[in-house]
Amino acid sequence: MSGPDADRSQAALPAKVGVYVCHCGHNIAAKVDVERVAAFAASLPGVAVARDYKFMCSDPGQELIQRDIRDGLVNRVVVASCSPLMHGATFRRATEAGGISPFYSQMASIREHVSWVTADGGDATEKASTLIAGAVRRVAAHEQLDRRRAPVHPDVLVVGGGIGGIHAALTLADAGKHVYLVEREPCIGGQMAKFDKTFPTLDCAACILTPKMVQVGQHPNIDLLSFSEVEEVSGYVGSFKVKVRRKARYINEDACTGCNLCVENCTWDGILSEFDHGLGTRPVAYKPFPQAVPACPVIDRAGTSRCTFSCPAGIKAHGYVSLVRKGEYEKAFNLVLDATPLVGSLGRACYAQCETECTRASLEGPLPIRRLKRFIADAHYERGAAAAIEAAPPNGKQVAVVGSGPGGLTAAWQLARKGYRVKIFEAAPEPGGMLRLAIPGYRLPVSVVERDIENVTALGVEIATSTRVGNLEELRREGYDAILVATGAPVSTSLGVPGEDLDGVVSGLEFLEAAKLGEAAGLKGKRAVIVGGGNVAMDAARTARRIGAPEELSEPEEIMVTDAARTAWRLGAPEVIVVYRRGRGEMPAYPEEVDAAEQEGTRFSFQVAPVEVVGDGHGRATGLRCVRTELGAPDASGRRRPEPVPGSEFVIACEMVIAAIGLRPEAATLAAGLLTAANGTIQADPGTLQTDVPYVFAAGDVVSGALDIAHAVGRGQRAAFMIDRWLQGEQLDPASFDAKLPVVDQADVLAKQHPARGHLDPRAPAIRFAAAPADFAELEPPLTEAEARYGAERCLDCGGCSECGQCIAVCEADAIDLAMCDTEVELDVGAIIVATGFKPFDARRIPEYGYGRYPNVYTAPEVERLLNASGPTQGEIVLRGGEHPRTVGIIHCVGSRDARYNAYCSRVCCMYSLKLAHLIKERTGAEVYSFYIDMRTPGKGYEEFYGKVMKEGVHLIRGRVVEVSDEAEWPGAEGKLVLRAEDTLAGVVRQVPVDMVVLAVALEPQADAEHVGRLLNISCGSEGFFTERHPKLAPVSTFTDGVFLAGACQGPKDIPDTVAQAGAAAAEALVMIDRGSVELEPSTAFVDAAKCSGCRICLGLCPFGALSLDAEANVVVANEVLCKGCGVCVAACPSGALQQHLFTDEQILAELEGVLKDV
Amino acid sequence: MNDIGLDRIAEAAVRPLGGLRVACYYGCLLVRPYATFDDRRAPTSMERLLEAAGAEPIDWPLRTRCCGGSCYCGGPLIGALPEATLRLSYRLLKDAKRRGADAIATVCPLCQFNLEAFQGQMARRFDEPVDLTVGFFTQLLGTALGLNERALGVHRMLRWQLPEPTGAEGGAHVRA
Repeated sequence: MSGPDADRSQAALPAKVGVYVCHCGHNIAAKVDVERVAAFAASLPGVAVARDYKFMCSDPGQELIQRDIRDGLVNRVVVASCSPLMHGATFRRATEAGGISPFYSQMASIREHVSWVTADGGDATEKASTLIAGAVRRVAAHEQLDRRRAPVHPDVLVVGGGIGGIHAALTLADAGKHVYLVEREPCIGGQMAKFDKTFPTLDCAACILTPKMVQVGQHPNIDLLSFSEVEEVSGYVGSFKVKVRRKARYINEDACTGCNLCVENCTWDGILSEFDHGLGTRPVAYKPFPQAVPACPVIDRAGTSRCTFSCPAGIKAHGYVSLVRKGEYEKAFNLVLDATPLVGSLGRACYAQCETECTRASLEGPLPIRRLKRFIADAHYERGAAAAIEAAPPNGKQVAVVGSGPGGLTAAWQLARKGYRVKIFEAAPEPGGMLRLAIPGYRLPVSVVERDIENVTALGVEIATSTRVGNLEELRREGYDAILVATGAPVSTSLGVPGEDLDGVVSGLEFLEAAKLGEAAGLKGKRAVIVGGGNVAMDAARTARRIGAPEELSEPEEIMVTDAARTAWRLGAPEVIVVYRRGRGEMPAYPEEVDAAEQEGTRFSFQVAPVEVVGDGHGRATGLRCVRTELGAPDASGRRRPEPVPGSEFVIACEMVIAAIGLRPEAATLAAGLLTAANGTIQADPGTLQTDVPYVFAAGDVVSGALDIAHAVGRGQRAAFMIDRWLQGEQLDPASFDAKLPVVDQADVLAKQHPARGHLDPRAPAIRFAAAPADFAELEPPLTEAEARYGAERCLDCGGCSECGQCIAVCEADAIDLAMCDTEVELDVGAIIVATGFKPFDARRIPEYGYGRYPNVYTAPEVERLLNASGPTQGEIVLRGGEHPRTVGIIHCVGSRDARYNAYCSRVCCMYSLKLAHLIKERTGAEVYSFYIDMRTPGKGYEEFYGKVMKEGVHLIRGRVVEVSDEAEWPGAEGKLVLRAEDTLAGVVRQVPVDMVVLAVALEPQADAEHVGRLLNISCGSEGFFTERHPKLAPVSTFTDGVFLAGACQGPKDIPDTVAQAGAAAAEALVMIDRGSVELEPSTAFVDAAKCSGCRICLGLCPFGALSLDAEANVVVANEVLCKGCGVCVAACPSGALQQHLFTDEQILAELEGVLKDV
Repeated sequence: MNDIGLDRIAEAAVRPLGGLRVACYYGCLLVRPYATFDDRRAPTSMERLLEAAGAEPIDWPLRTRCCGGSCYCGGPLIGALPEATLRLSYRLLKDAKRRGADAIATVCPLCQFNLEAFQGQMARRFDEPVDLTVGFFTQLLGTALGLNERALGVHRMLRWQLPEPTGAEGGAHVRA
């Protein structure tokens, strides 16, 4: 706001306006009659002096103004000339030099607004007069304003680490300023790092670039934030606040020594390399190129692979598949062992949720992930080697595990590894739980279970069999620091029909147990009926007793149904029938199991429910009376309810009735104050597995109800993790146990694949079933090594990194951290230099050139990679088949100088095409044909280079190529690509057959240029490049003060121009920083508090956050420092409380009056 | 294709074309100068349609190339440049044959006539004789839909010879 000062006196005096009409040479005077206009101006009220002069902006011109002021003739100045943007500052300075406030001057634009745009001289003169009349009245209403300065933070942000960004950063850093260089790729170098040689000197790009890159990496004044992106920019010139997201590399940059061992040992190196434009592949842990700065690699993780994510046992499925693919079977075994000792058992009996989720399942079929686990288990066990996992030294604490099923065994294993003394108590005569006692031997041989259990006992874990634990408090008194209850769900639900106590009726679990323990009586001559699902009234009661989704829970007993059927055959039963009260479609058993049971001879009777077991009068079962059912409305589980059909009863004659209906836990006997539910499960916290009794944890089926092995293993792991935390006095924290990256989407994975990796032959060896099998020999054939490798090689590497752990194993600096997250940093800087570069034109947009269709059509950037010694072909120019080309065609202006794509010339393509022509000819001796429109070689040494290439015998044809086709019109063209173009100098149409086509693609703005522009508040031109302040005189600054441009992001250019601009941008930033402050434009908004009613309409409108509400006074306050003078709030204010300096209502209305009245 | 849908067409094909290798020829005016329903340079609609009918379209870059028809049999230059026409049409036929086509499918009667009628003259003029069936895509589609030859107007063609379908499942291309 205006304050008291010496010139206040001027404000009180009546305005004496001086009008100065500029000829601007011919620019104004040729169209406008300047003398007449000056004479008219002199006649206006309030005008003391009116002059016209040839060049008002010159020294004598400005002197005119100053002298009139000093002589007291004028105290307000109107200059009718060009525009405020051009010379507004000049005339304000002149006015101030004369001795009055610079804001007492006003410009009338009679050049840009009049002489340059009006056709008729008479109209132009009239319009000029009108504008001057307005300006005269307006300037009389001007106030004196204070000039404000804002401080400039001395740090600078450079966005983009290509040669432009590098040079700007080094220049500023050498000047002693602190620079943040933010680059979104893992390393700096930009496009230049991809080149082989640079024109015209044919310097090796890496040789001239790497010294600068290394300097950046080592400079004490440069903070290199690589693999990072600018997320948000706020503030204004001199004080920008920038939020930068540092993406997780999963390798600690400070600890990494750049030794590259992780890269060399990564088990998958088939990812298409972005640096090589997809021509080659790279590993998951990678450095884009060998000389990368920083030298720390990045582990490329798109998310968690689908198999690993879905594994309830927490096994890194993708990891062990990737190791098998590399032939590292022992390492694969150890990776699984890290999660659980039950490698062999899971390899046979796991239901493999991973295979359902496998992305390949949507193509030719999933990978045989489970069978691969069996393969590595067999390989390890057959070799008889000891596992490479050791236990920590004893820590003096002991844990009791009740139950030796998969949950208990896994928990015991993990706890023993951590140094606890573990004893497992098992009620059955043999350890292993359902693995040992329920799953039939043809699926899971006992020897495998026993070998898995040996992994646990080898660590010193004691297993006490035939020992039922009754009272947990007693165990506690024996000295155990913690107890894990993992007793599973061993109690069978009874049939619930009369006659179920007859001899010959047995529960599914009892039947399978007896068979596994070798105690089952033979079933010779005994027909067996297996009841799955129970009687018609069962469901309601069952559902009420259970927790969890009914369909999950019914799976184990449905497996039991088929297991029981197939076991019955092996025990010699002459006939086996399965009775199920719903239809085939509703039976949730695995279709492969039902199919297997049927192939072995089992008959399935659907929609049949048991009613009564019929006896012979001597206590033995002779048959099962059943009733047919109809399927009615769906029940709570979503399956249709079976309703008995009256009068449809019939009897199935049999000697054995096996009821495989349901399993539930039985925890009531354990006492110790454990909370149990009506269905027998123990209440435990789902995240920590701790029960109400702090030293008792519970895991597996005993908590969840009957599930499956993989879940039990996973829960066992969780229990061990939590028990360990609890005993060490740490937070139990389920979040850290559950932490993993989100799962990748199948569609994304498929979209990224090379087309050659589409449908493959599944080659899955099938199981042979025989009818009425006689023994329990294992049925599924093992995978051969070739089959295993083939299966593993089909892997699509959904998540990128497989988490195989090999990088972690070899890193001597311990720098790898897969739990790393993206972080955010906030920077305070005074200036920002944008050096974000360009992207090459996508040649697929021009289908007639055949890119993407014909394999030997390349873009120039791709050929750069071929030429580069560290590229995919080690510097050899070869066709896709591996042979050298004998003829090469280069097409200029692909995507440039083309109204359909980009109308502009990309400036560097002619030179780089000549360079490629020279290099290709030199390396291969091929005949090179270059098709150009004009040869643009304007720089220093460029013409000489052009001459040199011509002399080498490169054929230069002036004509635009119409199409590239493989049509063989004559025998010589067979197998080649024919380029058709009119040779305009010779006046003929040429058809040139070549082996290889190189497309000189245009330089385009980056794909996210508009987004970056919005972040930084700079605009993009019609071609998409950032707009500079003035194309001639201010090519590196923008209309946003404090934001500068450098390099190809401002327009296509070569390296020397980029470096020059980078230096220029750095210099302009230094101007601001060394001055220490910037002057702010005073045309800011201000509030007349008396008029403000506190309606708050303006608050949300300000894009710069300059308005706030003073809650006490209920008036709005404007922050002049943040205000940029856009005027939106002023326009919106209904009461006129908000006004804008230099654009007050009074001033605008005065101008209108002048225009309307005085002409 | 839009109204009925390729799936229904595939279902309705009672006698699928058995992997017939067909070169789809669009001619110069169908997708140029205004590409309203397909790509100007690389159109695929006829290919997809005939694929649904069981054929195996070949990929060839000449499908919108000029056949010279306007110079010889119709259009503004009737009879004007027979040499040019013969050469251009011959190039098309020869390339289709080289890529293994059994037949050419056309849209426009001018194209169809031009490519079909002068094969004899071409044999006399040029070294490699070309002997290809040139039909309307509707005739091929009709064959697949089970219409008889009279209904399709095949008897009016100068030559009509389609190879027997190969393979039990109707050739290399299997409908999803």
